[in-house]
Amino acid sequence: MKHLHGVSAAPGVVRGAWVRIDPSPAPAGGTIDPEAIGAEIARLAAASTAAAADLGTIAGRVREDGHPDEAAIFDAQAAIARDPALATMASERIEQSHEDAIRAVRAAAEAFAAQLRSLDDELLAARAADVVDVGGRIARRLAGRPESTAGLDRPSIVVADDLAPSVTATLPRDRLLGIALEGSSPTAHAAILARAYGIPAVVGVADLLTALGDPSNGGGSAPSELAIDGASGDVYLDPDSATRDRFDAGADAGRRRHESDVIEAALPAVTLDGTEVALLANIGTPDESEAAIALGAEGVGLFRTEFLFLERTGPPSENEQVAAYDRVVRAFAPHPVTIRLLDVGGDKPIPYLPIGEEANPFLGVRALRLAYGQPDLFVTQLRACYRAAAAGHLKVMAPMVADAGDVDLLLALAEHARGDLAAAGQPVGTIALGVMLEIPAAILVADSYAPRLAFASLGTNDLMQYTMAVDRGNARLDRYRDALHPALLRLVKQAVDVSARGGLELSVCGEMAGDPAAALALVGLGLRELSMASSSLPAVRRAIRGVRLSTLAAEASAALDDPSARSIRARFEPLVAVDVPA
Amino acid sequence: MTSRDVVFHDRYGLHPRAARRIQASLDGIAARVSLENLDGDGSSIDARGMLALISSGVRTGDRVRVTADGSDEEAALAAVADLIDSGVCHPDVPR
Repeated sequence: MKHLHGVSAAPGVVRGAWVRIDPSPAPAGGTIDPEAIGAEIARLAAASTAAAADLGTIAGRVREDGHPDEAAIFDAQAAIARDPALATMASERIEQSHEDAIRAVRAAAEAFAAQLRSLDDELLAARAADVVDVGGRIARRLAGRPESTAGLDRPSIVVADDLAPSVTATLPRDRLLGIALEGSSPTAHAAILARAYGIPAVVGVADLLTALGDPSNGGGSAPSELAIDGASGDVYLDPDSATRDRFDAGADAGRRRHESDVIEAALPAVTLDGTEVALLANIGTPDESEAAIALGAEGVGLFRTEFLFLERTGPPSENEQVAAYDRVVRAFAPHPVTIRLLDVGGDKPIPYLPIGEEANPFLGVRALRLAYGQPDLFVTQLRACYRAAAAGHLKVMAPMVADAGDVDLLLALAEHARGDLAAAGQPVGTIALGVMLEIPAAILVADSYAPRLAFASLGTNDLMQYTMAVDRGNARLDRYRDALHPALLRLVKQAVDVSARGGLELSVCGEMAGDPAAALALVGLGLRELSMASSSLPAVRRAIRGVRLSTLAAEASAALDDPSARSIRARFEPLVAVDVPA
Repeated sequence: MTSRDVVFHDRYGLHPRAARRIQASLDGIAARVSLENLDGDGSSIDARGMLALISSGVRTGDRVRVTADGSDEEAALAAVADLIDSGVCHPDVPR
């Protein structure tokens, strides 16, 4: 057994057969006759266009897999392939040195990559691989060589010096056990993709390729098996039986944890004394529905719709929105899906939505406040909601509501949308209307509008920012930012009381609901519906199943008089059951 | 011709995805737009050039001068300068 050490790139442990993948050799190219210059430049242009189209296809596949951020990596690569700067530099080489298009485009890509490596910035230097990857792809197109879609004939750990992002994205994931690279860095796109796909990966493993190819290692032949720990960066060649047992136990524990999460997902979140709490998921795209359902989400308490509106030059059409909402509503039916109306502001400019510069965008014209000037955007979104509601149970909530005037606006927009559809003879479903409680004022005056709404949802992240006057991103203010701050708890209590009086259903959809100790405090205060990132569902479910409501209610009541978040945490953290069932 | 100075707020500097967003923000705009890294070598970078953008070495906190020239230069300036000002892909203030 030989032990090597690298850098953690994606957590998880795995052992198994390995296969080495070498970059499919980019063709070397040669020279051309001077009279062929024009034709060669045209060939280059066609190959660049084709390579850009291929990369666009890969981006589409990664996006379909539910990884929109990672898909953008390939959109950027496609833009590099289309960049006239690359073609211009390559064309100059064709004209002046009579290089053929293959040699010229590879040299041009290498020149740009060298510039990136020289920047003395680890992150940008890692992007040099992207540029070389694009140059190689165009060169292979020119040579008529297929891309190396490394087919794995059995489940294997992939070993290489470096892996191009486009190769990583196209490896068959059902047979890809793990990744071990001699070069690369945790910030390389290959590592980012491995994390997104949940594949253990170690990078920067010095001497890995030599050790694998060295016949003196492993008794005269290449090692038959590798074991990698993506969290610690350890790599073992031909692991001994003790190491194999350790890795199998680690892999088993990970699998058991996931299996028990999925098995327990079918159990109700009910306290020992029989009070049931509904656990829902927060999602940002329709693609996240499946994972949330697998972990037992009983609906969606917060469906952020910004993904439809960002990174484009015009607003999404009503039909495009209906398609997205309909997909989620059908996936969760008969459980409810709560759509949050567009929540953007001056901090997140949208080309077709002129907000203008604001000194303080978080206290500016954001979210529902935009509707005073741009009602059409919201009326269109509400029309799409009414249409999607025909397929199941849909709720719609407005963000950034401060008082009854904002509720008037929401109701007027909804009425307008419904009127439009009725006039056009379109089938319309029923939607429950509600508001996000994230501005303290909205809680203080909730009795002035509660009877006109069906529900309210506490957005505790912004509620904390606006209550404590603490910027969400400022690390120096961390001490104020505990969701169990007594000020926040008192506001939640007030929201519970006023909702009960006004007949509003109340839920929580901030990060507070996904923190097991804080979730117990919320249940103690009277909340019966919590919505959180689906990855938090198992831990919160376990915490609720391990306690008595009577205990939580007593602790919550006492916590309202505590002086600090720390003392409140001290009440609830010991109540969170720590043992993970085997 | 019009210009505005902004601070590059993306936590990871001018990386390829940020470059792509800057480039895409100019879709449908005719004006010529360039960036100048006031904390770098000060050379002029075409805001539509992917490779020029990513090899410019602009980092978080660098001051960047955005210059637009053409009939729709105001719209061009607003698109690019606001995008940079807001942090492009990874704003300093996460939401």
